Amino acid sequence: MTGAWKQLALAAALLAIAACSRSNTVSGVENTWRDPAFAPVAGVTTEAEVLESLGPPSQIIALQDQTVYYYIREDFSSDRLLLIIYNQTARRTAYDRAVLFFNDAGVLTKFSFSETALPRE
Amino acid sequence: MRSVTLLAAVAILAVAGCARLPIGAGYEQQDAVFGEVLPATAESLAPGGARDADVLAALGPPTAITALPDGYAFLYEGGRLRTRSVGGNFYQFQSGYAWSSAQLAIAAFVFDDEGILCGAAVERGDEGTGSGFSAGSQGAQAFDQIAFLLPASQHFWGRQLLRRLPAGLNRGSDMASGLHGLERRGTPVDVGQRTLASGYSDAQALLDLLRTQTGQ
Repeated sequence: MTGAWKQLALAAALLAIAACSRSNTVSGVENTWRDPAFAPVAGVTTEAEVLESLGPPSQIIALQDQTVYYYIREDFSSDRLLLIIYNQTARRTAYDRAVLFFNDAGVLTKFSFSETALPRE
Repeated sequence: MRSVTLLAAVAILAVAGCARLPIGAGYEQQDAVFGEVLPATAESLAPGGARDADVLAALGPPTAITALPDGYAFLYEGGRLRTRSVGGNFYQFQSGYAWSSAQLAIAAFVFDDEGILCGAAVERGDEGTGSGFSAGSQGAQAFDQIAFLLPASQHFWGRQLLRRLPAGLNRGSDMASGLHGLERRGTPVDVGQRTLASGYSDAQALLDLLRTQTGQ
């Protein structure tokens, strides 16, 4: 590669860097429900055990004779390409959720984890 | 040759770093994806036979859960938003055209206090959500994606207790706490129950509401 081509390649690379941006924001609670050691069993696991394993939930919802622990972790990412005459932005919001239902005795009756599993930090 | 190339590189970088040029034209596309794709099994969950556990097993955790007077309800949301615009400017004069579309999947399931499904609605749409043309000092706008990209209200549930007085007094009608109802993303916030909390209905109220919810 000649010197001129090297400089052109360098200029192109610098241009690409200057015109691109990527950001990532994570909010919510840590998705500890993805820990293989956490294996809740309906009819057996209690509220106290879940709190000890997962920590405070994102939301506690009171239903008639049930309590729902709602855990959520949100991952927002944004990729931008700014080339003056062509600009492109792609945003993605992904949720990793866990909901656990307890009866009035504090025993787990049903639960569900989202199909999307965000990576654990 | 070397100095010319370097000069060109610097000039390109300088231009690329400008937020806005006196004279320009361009094309912009914005794509946003939020939530999960709603499985096709959502339509097969019919009242009378299915229970809450069946819905959870088929669709996973809902976007929101709310208590109802005689039961409770799940809301599922997910979608893909697209906005495109072309335009140009000559100093303060701008002209452009923008258009948008949304591919949304929304489902609501209502259960009685025994957890038996007594109502279900699934909606899938792929349609235009607006377009706009402008010529003058303002740019063209179509659909504002922010309503779908705000953080989930679950992140701010504790803050609902610390709202200003109109919001506090009307907490019984609040949609964001997860206790008193469900609300689809994208629902206009200057009509219906939210107006009880905002106290007044104008653009500033909307902005205040968004700031209150997001803490920004």
